[in-house]
Amino acid sequence: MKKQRMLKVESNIKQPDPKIIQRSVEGDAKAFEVIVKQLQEYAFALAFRILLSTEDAQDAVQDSFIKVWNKLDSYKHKHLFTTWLYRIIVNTCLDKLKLNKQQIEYGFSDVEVSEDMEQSLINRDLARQIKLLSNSLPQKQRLAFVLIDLQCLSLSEAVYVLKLTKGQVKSNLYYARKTIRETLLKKEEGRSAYVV
Amino acid sequence: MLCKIFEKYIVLSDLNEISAAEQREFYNHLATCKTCREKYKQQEDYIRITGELREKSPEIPNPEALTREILSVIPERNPKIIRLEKRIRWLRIAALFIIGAFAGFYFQQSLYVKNQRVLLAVKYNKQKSVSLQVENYSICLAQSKIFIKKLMVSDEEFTQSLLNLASDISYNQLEEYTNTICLQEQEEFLSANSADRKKLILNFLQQSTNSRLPSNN
Ligand SMILES: [Zn+2]
Repeated sequence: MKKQRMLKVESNIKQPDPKIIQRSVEGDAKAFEVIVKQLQEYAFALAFRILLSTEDAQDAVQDSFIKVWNKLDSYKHKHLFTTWLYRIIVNTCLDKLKLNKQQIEYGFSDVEVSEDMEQSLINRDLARQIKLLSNSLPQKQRLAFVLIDLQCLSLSEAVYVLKLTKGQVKSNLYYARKTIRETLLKKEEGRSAYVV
Repeated sequence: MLCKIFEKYIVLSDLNEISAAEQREFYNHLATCKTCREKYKQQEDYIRITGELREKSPEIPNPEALTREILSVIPERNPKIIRLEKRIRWLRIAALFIIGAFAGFYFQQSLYVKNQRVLLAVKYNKQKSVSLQVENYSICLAQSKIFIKKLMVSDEEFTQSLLNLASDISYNQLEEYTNTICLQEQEEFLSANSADRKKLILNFLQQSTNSRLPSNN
């Protein structure tokens, strides 16, 4: 029996230059532009994988970077800059999910219709696949799955981002993976195979 | 039972560090248990599928436009205001330091008051007729500090010793003595017998008077 392939769990995103961070703290918008350009793609990927909508993800990225700009001087170098950014993005996305839920309850559900017009085919297909796998998961399990299995965060990074204990993250990830595995199995049994 | 234990290992294999021995046990079990083998295979499918999903990164339709949009709405931060905020932060620290220094000063003052209490105890017990008026002492600060500290511990004993002498020595003499002796002299006083104590005080006062007198040479 060959050894099980390990999941990639170490975050390997290039961190912004500390000098650039310092200049941004001092109010240099040009320096902040460098950070935005460097990290907006990662930020978007995370927001998209949580919100499953291009438009919502772009809004969340924009809101998150504004928060980052305003809170920059409170950034402690205890965590990686990207981990700190991820925590802000996750919080922003959770607020957005709450707001969207409220909008649906109040009858403003036209958000999804308008965004579909602009959304690229790749994104739409990707959203469908992620939804298929993880839509039935409770929020915390879904976040643990997205952060660790899709965004490649380490366990300790996920602990900080989700404000949970190590045990809680592990147990949420365990149930998420188990449920997804069972979903895949059902699909395989239903059809010949699940194709991504 | 073993299957349940190993299921956790199968699902969280990338997060759970297990020993080489446990790993051997796991693979031995896998060779004999069909259920675990199936689960293990399903987990491999899971890893493959999520791996493929991870490779497909969502795309920002227009990255430049998003950067522009983000930068267009960040509130301007004036470097002058940031410098001012920094200065205010420093002022706050300085203010705290000054408050701390004042608190320290008052604490020391309270020790001095305690010293005065000793003297007042002497005064009211034995020297009721002597005026309350306190002279301007020439206290050596360093000496007083040590003395006052010592007084905090040996307060009662020292006071009692002074009270016993109060009928023989005047209040003013006692007052001057307690205010100018250093720690070593106080210890000397406490270790001396009652007859020598009076002598010690008088000698001390005589010496300090001589040292204050202008030299005749
Ligand atoms: Zn088994």
